[in-house]
Amino acid sequence: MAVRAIGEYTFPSRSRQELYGDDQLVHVWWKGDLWFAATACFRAPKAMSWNDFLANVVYPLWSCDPDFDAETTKLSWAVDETPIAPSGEESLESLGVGHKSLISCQAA
Amino acid sequence: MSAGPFEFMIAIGFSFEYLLANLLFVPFMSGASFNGDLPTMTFGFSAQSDESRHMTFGLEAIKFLLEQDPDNVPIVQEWIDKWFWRGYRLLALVSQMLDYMLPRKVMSWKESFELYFEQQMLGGLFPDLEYYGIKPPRHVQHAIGEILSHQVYWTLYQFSFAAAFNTTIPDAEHQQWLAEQYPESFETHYKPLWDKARTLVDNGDRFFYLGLPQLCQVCQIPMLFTEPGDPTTLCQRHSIYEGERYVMCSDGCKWIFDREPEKYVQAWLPVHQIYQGNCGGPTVPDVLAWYQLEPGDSGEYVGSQEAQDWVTWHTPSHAPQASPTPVAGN
Repeated sequence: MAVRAIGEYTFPSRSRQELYGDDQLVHVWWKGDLWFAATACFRAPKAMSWNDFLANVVYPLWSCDPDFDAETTKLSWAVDETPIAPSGEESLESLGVGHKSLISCQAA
Repeated sequence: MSAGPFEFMIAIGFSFEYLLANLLFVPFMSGASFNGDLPTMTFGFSAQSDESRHMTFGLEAIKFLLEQDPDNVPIVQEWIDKWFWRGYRLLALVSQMLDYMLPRKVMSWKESFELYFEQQMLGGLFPDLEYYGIKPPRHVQHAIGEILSHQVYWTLYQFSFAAAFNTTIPDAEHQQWLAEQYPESFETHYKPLWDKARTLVDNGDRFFYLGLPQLCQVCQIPMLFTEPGDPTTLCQRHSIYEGERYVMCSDGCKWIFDREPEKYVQAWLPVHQIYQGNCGGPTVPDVLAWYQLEPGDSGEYVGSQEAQDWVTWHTPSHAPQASPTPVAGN
């Protein structure tokens, strides 16, 4: 359904990808654990590798959870609800992560 | 975000002032008065008299619109559906204030919602409006339950470094009260989180969310709300509009977005703007400085200036003087 307006009513998105250059916004959700009260939003380069993304973007936040241990916590991942099994060197873009995508994980 | 004067009247005069404002004014001002905050109480009573006039306008306006033409009924219904949900989302802040922030409790959010919304509106007003063909607001069933205030305060606790007010862990007596008020949810879902936060504090640490939250495109609140009927799973909704993905926190906000996406794509979402570099800089201190927050405005309550002031003001020797000196000319 469209807005009902008496004239032209077209405005650009204030969060469109081009405003972030080679980067994009990425959401990360740890399903089933409410220690982090809300899903996180990060800005990350599209070409960033999965391993870099975890180590330098996600884990610094998750280190606020005393029960989180990057070595031992086993997680299964999905991008926009489609399961992925990253090996680590792939870029976010090649894993299907788009602007404002939702990367979710669950205890495996 | 309304489409003109008629929608505005239904938004403010009816959906907010008539349906929801008692939830704001009555418990809020009773809470202020009960806790000795007389300036807020005075302001509240003054605003309330204004508000009752708006309520009268709102009710007259909606009846007038409905009586003019039966074709107005579905239009007005959609405005009620939209503005009930937008107002309800805003009241999330009041819910945590009632349940978590008042040192002396007046009533729980759940009790207030039952009395001022379920009984007075769903049980009183909507049966009257049925005559015109108006139904209770869409998604109202997602507003009823035990979870709202806990989720909101838990979020404010961990984002307190940027909240412009202080938060702390509810003490044992307070948690006992919460357990009594919320027998089906507090001890199961929220007490374990506070226990874990308490362990950190006992070890000399304090939990802060060292990052930024995902925001809902419509209500702009962090994505903290859970699935209807499942308090353990955060609710995620999205829509693709002109090739771009937009995220919503609930069926209510998604319905509002999908109805008028052209409006909501323009939203100035603080987190997205911070990441564009429009809020002072890339780090948290840069952003807080840009928001003109001073050290001490935010963070943990225990040990804060607020906590010291509260103790000082409640020390008998600091009781207010009987009559302030009159100012010349008044």
